[in-house]
Amino acid sequence: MKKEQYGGDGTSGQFHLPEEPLYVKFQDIIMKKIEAGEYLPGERLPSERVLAEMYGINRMTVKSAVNALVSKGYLYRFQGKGTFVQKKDFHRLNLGLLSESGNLGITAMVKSQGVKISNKILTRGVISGSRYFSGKLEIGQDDPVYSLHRIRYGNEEPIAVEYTYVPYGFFPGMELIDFKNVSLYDYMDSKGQMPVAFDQKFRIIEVSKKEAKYLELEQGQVVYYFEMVGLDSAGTVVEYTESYTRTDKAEFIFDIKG
Amino acid sequence: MGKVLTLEVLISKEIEYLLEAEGYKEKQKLPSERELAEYFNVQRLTIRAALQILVQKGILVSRERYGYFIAPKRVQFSLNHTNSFKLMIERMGKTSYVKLLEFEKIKLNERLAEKTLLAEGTEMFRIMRLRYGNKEPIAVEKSYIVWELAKDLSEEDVHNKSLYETLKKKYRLSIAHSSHRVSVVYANGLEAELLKVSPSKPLIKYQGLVYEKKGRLLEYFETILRSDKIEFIIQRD
Repeated sequence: MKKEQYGGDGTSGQFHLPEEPLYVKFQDIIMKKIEAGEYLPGERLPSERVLAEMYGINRMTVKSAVNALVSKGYLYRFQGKGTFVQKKDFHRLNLGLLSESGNLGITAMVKSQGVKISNKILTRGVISGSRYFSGKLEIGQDDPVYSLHRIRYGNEEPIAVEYTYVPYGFFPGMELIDFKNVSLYDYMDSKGQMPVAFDQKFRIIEVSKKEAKYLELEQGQVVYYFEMVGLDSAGTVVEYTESYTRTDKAEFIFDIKG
Repeated sequence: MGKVLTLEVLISKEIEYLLEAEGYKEKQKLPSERELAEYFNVQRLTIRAALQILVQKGILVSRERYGYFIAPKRVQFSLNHTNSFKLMIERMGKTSYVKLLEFEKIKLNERLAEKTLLAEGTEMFRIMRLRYGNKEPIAVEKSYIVWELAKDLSEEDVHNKSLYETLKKKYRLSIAHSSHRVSVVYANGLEAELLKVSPSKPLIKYQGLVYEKKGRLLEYFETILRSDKIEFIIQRD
């Protein structure tokens, strides 16, 4: 029971321990792993039992550390599902259009506040031989392209369908990542190839039958249609995305210098 | 190629590739469905579905019994610069111009005070202009300029001239930065009439706050654009 008292924010102020308690040390280990991108935002942490075994420590110690990180907002619990790494800014709909590092590009904002964003993966996998995609990605015609098609939801309501294509050669093993919970950009960032500059084009079009179904719209209603090429800091194309976004759910904001 | 993409999506992308690679121009006619089916070695139904995808995206238009054509080009509206209309006009030459509809001095009402974070009652110039692209009306622009910063602004200054050029030359006010917002709205009666669209048609609402070098708000604008005629682009530096 005594150990649980440390489970708060660690500043109980009762007395100073000569050394940092174990759960604080363990907390640091987890935080370092999050910072290093080993655990990505949205990713599920191993269970407390597994963590205890991995580090050869008491399960209560793990629990205390996890509790502390939850109360600090680094982790969150999802009833019956486990503990997950918190997303940086979960109100912002990162429709693959956002440059977090600067003011380049357009940001899609969900119109209402406090919306919880979730994803559904429609299809994913490697394709090759498409002249169109290899041309957009500036890779060889037969180089593999990883395609990831997702519906983005805000509070369970569909907001956007995104068709994303990346050069598989840069991201081998990406088929193992849980993109339902992990943001694509966080993952790309962890590989050092996050898009930071963009060529973007968007227009308003009438939604097609296929996307109308995904977005729960009537045929003939309009959507934002986006096309964009994303380049990493070295100027290499790392992403090509086409997306359809509901106009009643999202708007776009951007800043211009000069 | 696996089942990640359906055949018609893949074919539609290959057609898109060909259109770009072969440099097809707007309004140009495409090869027939039969020719395309032979070229790609797929069924005509697949070609038809692929072409339909491109029609839906606004890349092609289909005319019954005549075939498929490259859709007329949309007016490209660059979002790289605050003064993007000026650049657009330069690129489009004489097919783009503006018509001054209203020029008056007003006091900020509550709604506009909220938008601009200026005090209610602040004196402003209200300038309403109709913008043409390819000789068609494409945008109704409402611009609110802080009177205090450009007291002698006149109708002549904004009549078929760049407002920002005038502000720079006459008042030494140059733009430092601006923040923008794009959303979709439905036309009110006046806008529908000016843009020659039915009120049930969706339009683009483009709002912006423009700040000058000393950090003072210079302008708030609300532009309503034809959603079917415009395409926004942002290009890397």
